[in-house]
Amino acid sequence: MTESVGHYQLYDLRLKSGDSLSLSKWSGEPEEDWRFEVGEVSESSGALVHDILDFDGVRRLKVWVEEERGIIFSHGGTRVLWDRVNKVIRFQAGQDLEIRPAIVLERMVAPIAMILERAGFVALHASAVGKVAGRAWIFIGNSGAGKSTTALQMMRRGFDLLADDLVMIDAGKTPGGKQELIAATPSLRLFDRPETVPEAIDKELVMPHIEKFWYQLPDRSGGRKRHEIAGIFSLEPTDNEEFVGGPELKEVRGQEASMRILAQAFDLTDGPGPWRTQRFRTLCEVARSVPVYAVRYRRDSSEAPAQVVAIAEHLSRNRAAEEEGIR
Amino acid sequence: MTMKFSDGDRFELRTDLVVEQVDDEVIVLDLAGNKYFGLNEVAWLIWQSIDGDGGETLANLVAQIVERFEISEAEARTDVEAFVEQLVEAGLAEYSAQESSG
Repeated sequence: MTESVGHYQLYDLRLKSGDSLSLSKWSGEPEEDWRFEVGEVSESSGALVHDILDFDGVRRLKVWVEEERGIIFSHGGTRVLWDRVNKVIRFQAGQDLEIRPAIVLERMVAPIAMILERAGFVALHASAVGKVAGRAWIFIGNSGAGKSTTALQMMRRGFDLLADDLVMIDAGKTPGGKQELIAATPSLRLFDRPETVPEAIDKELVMPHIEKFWYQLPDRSGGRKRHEIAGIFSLEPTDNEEFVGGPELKEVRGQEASMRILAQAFDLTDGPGPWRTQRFRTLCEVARSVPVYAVRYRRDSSEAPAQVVAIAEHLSRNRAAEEEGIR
Repeated sequence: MTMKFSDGDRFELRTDLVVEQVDDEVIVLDLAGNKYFGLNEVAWLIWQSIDGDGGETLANLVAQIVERFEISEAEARTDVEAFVEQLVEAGLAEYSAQESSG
């Protein structure tokens, strides 16, 4: 039996693996070459930087930083080592492993490692789509605000899905001083209804006891991993009957923009002070340099939800204005 | 208002507070409590005055607000007292009562 080696996309890392992973296949130039391997990861005695009950309320996610080995993750019985020096991700599945390694890597391991190790990197609880010349739009909001639904509907309007539920941002000084989004494997987490995502190439329960599905989608970004962030839409659905009329979309600035971003930014429960200072400064830098729009709307489950119509109209008006400016 | 301050009372900010300006507004990160606070224009001016070695006294803060915003002393005092009380209650500023001059 021959072992086939695949090259996968883990944000901007090219990950080589003999095991099949449900991540997008790598296309484009590698920025870094990492290796995924299954092997033993012993317990950590390093500095604990994160300790939280996972969203299913069953598993604890713990993260330690060690000088010798790198970053160690423990999630339920699963342990993962992020070895920056040798560029290896070692994975030890627990007896209770019910989550795909790819989800653990993309949703926990890589984002936490990247925000810990790379200055100017932050992660938002958000979804994102992209279009035209590598520009990206981000949707933030509380759980249930409709981030994934908005992303799905924007996708059906010709946008590329770049990330769902977790968005990686490089707000460091990239050439031109741009804020960039690092695309993930396109996938959506949604409650299942018949024909929810017929575009999906794969579908699986996020966790066996949670009625939410994980849909993997074809990667249409043409190998582009970095996208300039053109705007952030803060979704604010209301079920209030008194909210009548169309959706409201307005630009917010200063404190309001910052607080909306800070509220959806990923944090470590025991992050070191200098790290938290840097995170705060980076998020304020995002608020200063990216337009933030508050979108208030009544929820609806149609194929053209109010917030999607408002956002799509806003983007097409902006594009028309930009083209006008070029002439 | 629950606290009573006198003119000579001195206020000083904690040193582990991180301040960022976004557009014309100011946001503060309290590292110890891991909380964020927004400051308006008056609050920001008071903040800058008590930031630094030794802090500042209530009387001087009131005088600065009167001068900067051209409002009455009574109004300025109300604003300053309300804000420093919030700072003390949130644990962001230390407060030392006026020393008795004998």
